Amino acid sequence: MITTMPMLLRRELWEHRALYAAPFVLAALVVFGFVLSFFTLIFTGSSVNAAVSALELTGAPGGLAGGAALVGVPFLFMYFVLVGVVFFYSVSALSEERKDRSILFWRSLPVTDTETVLSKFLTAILVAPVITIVMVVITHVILLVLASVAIMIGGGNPVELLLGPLPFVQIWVLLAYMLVTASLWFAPVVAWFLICSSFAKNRSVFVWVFVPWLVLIMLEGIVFRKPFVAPMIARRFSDGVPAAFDAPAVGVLPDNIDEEVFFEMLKANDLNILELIAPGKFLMTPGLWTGLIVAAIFLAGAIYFRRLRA
Amino acid sequence: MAPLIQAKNVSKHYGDVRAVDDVSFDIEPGRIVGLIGPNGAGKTTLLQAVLGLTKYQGSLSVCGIDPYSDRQALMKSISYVADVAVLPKWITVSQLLDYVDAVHPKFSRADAEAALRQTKVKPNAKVKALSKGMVAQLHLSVIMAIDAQLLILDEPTLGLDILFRKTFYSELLSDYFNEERTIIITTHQVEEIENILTDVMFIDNGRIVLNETLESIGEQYTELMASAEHADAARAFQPISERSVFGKTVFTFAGAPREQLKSLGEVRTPGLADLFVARISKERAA
Repeated sequence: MITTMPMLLRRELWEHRALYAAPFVLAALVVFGFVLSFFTLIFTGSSVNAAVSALELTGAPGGLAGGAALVGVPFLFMYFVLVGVVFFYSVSALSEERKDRSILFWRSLPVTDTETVLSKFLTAILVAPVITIVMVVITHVILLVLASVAIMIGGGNPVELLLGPLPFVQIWVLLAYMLVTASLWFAPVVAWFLICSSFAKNRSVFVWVFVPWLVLIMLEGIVFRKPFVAPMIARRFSDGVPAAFDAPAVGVLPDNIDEEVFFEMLKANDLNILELIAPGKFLMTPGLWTGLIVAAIFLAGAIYFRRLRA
Repeated sequence: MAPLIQAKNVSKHYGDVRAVDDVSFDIEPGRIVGLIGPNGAGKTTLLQAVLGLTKYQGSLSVCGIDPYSDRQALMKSISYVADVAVLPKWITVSQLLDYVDAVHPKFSRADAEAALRQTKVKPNAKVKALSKGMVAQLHLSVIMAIDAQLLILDEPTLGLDILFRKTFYSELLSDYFNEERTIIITTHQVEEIENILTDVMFIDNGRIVLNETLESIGEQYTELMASAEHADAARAFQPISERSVFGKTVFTFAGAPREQLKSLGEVRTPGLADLFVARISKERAA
């Protein structure tokens, strides 16, 4: 198990190249978009300095909004791509091998169904987020280098104006923490995709992913006065971030804060954004543990059906 | 030596259909067994039981292991080809070798690479880009580079051309087989494997209708080609089957005295295909 698991994870990356290709393409697009917007400003007659300030990379007022965007936008895009990639990966991970009959080959080797299903689960909740965070960091570094060069050409000091105020390492730790907690929080959802993928005929995987819940929601709406399933699903999608982060911080940064105050706080290093994370509270949240138990049940089902369907 | 496979009263029912019906047999190490039967006879179901791919009634021991409950341990001692058309399309040859090398303790990458050098299969090619014959060569090269006590080949050459099939079986015998290894083969083309088998099992309607070594088949069974005037005399020896060929009658006998039959016409050991037809039709008539 210990020796084969790394190979099983590599195998998933060989087969599902979107796991790394999609974030890579997105990273390239983000960098290209930045360069394009910068050179568009230059070619339309702006000076380098004007371009830098038009992109709000430095200085108040406007206060580093561009700098924050350099950090925030790539992550936001990457996160959406991660969600999409993990969804399409999980719903096909155990059905494709039946469709192309390669399951007959995989099962002729000394790898258990448990190892196989776990490797697919780990790919979705660990490997894909790790690829995402690595791509996010690389994209950030490239963008910040490009922005710094632009600031330097304009005669500014990038360390003072951009690199100093932006707390990168804290941001990266925060983003990594967000992905880890999201993975754990959404583990039952991923496990549900996997059991559908293991159980359903290839074309009907999507039906099985959604329809049972819709039917349950409709039935309980008719039968019970107080619905259970619908709020449960709603809580799964709304309560993850509040559970993992300290409440006052949620929604406060960076949208509603006064930009000038924000920039001054950044400059003075007054803002420790890592105060936002609340791992202790997250671990004490019952929803995390019930979710993980449900995930374990779904995974056991996926293992059972893989054996049965072979 | 203990038998490699011991099956006692193994049955597998699908609803009312008895795919495998109370089958018992032993297979010793160092044998090449042909498992021969018509479509739907239960060959594949029986092999699936042996491979731990399906549940069954009765008791079954393969390499001393209960195949269903301890499948992973079994997969370390045996290797099999369920169908040569099942390698994933997206994998490259070298990825496939990397993978099997990492998950199978008894796989020899060097052996597989040596075997592949004899073919046109390139290391960086994707399975998708290979012809059907090349995919089969790749799959068989990988499987045969596993040092397994038991190799199971279920229709290994289905859909491949005659040249490939001949080469494959002769290499199987010369390069792979030794007295510690056991091979079970199923195929439609009985005549192609006839000369490499040591044992043969006929299966029909889920039952074993014949389980003999090739030697004892030569001793027990006789085929006689007799002209019309000797036909009645031949029938007196109670043939298990008869058929007409070019105005003559061909009889198959079980346990009849070969010396006496010689006076009635041309005598030889029946081919497995003919013997199979003779046994199955007798079994079905009964």
